[in-house]
Amino acid sequence: MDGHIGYYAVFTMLALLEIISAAISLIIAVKAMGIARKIKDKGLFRLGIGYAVMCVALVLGFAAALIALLYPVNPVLQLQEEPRHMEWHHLGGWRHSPWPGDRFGVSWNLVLLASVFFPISYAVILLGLSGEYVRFEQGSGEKLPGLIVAPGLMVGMASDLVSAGLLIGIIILARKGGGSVGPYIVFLASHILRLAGESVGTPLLFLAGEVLRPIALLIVLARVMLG
Amino acid sequence: MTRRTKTLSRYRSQAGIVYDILNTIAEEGPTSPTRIMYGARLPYDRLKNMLEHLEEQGLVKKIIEDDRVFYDLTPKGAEVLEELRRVRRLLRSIGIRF
Repeated sequence: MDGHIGYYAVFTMLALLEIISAAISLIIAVKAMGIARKIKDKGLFRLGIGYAVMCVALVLGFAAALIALLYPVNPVLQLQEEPRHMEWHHLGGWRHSPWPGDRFGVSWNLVLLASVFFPISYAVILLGLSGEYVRFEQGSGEKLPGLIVAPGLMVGMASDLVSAGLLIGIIILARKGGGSVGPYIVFLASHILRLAGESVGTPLLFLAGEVLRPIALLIVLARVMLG
Repeated sequence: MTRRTKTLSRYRSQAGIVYDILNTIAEEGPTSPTRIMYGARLPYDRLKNMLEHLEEQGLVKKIIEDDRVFYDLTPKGAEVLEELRRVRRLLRSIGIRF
């Protein structure tokens, strides 16, 4: 994609979405923790911490997109230059890194690091929600010799799997309490798309997942603004 | 509709309970625990614990007049209620209902 307008358009959009959504999650974290501190609500406080962790993950995603923009690469050429790339292909097990920015460089590592932060944030949000809601009675192809994956890809895939599981838990819990689940469904869809992208090494699916995730936080912003 | 009503009656958020208590007191002025119980839709034992907790946090104050107990908002309580009103939509959007 090097030199193509599409490359710059995708990463510019991604960087913007990531930084906007990082700001939104920071606002959520500050507001939730602020009010939780005043009413001594541990569940709400944990929820706030979860969004603070999510903010860190989104900032890492922003940094990755920014690096991809500042240091554009040609992913096709990069693949061909990758030592042992063709050898892996002959073995039939190579799974491409789905990150078209720099498949094996700093930006890919930042994406992986962010991937680890997301399930942590969901776990803390889930913990917060479980503490916040109280139950009470109302007064009234070819067989491969082995799976060989791009460096770090297992980390990304495992993180997305864990994230999806945690998000299902969050959706169930928030639904039980009657809270809004829309943004969490978008988060879930984003991790499923990322997982699909990682499984088949398709940048398009992976990027769609990356773009969808900040959109979940934009939905929160839109709901707050539109009522 | 029936399903939604059923689920809402079983789980409530802590923040939502605090909001309902403070809001009832704000609307009624110095209020008896019984009126707060109806306003906040809470069983008496849970309300009693919540009122003690809110009193400890300095959000409500207990007033005893002629052996009758009332609760009123403190300035800090009024401030927290206002803040809860402001963040209500935001909290709803992230799964906290109240």
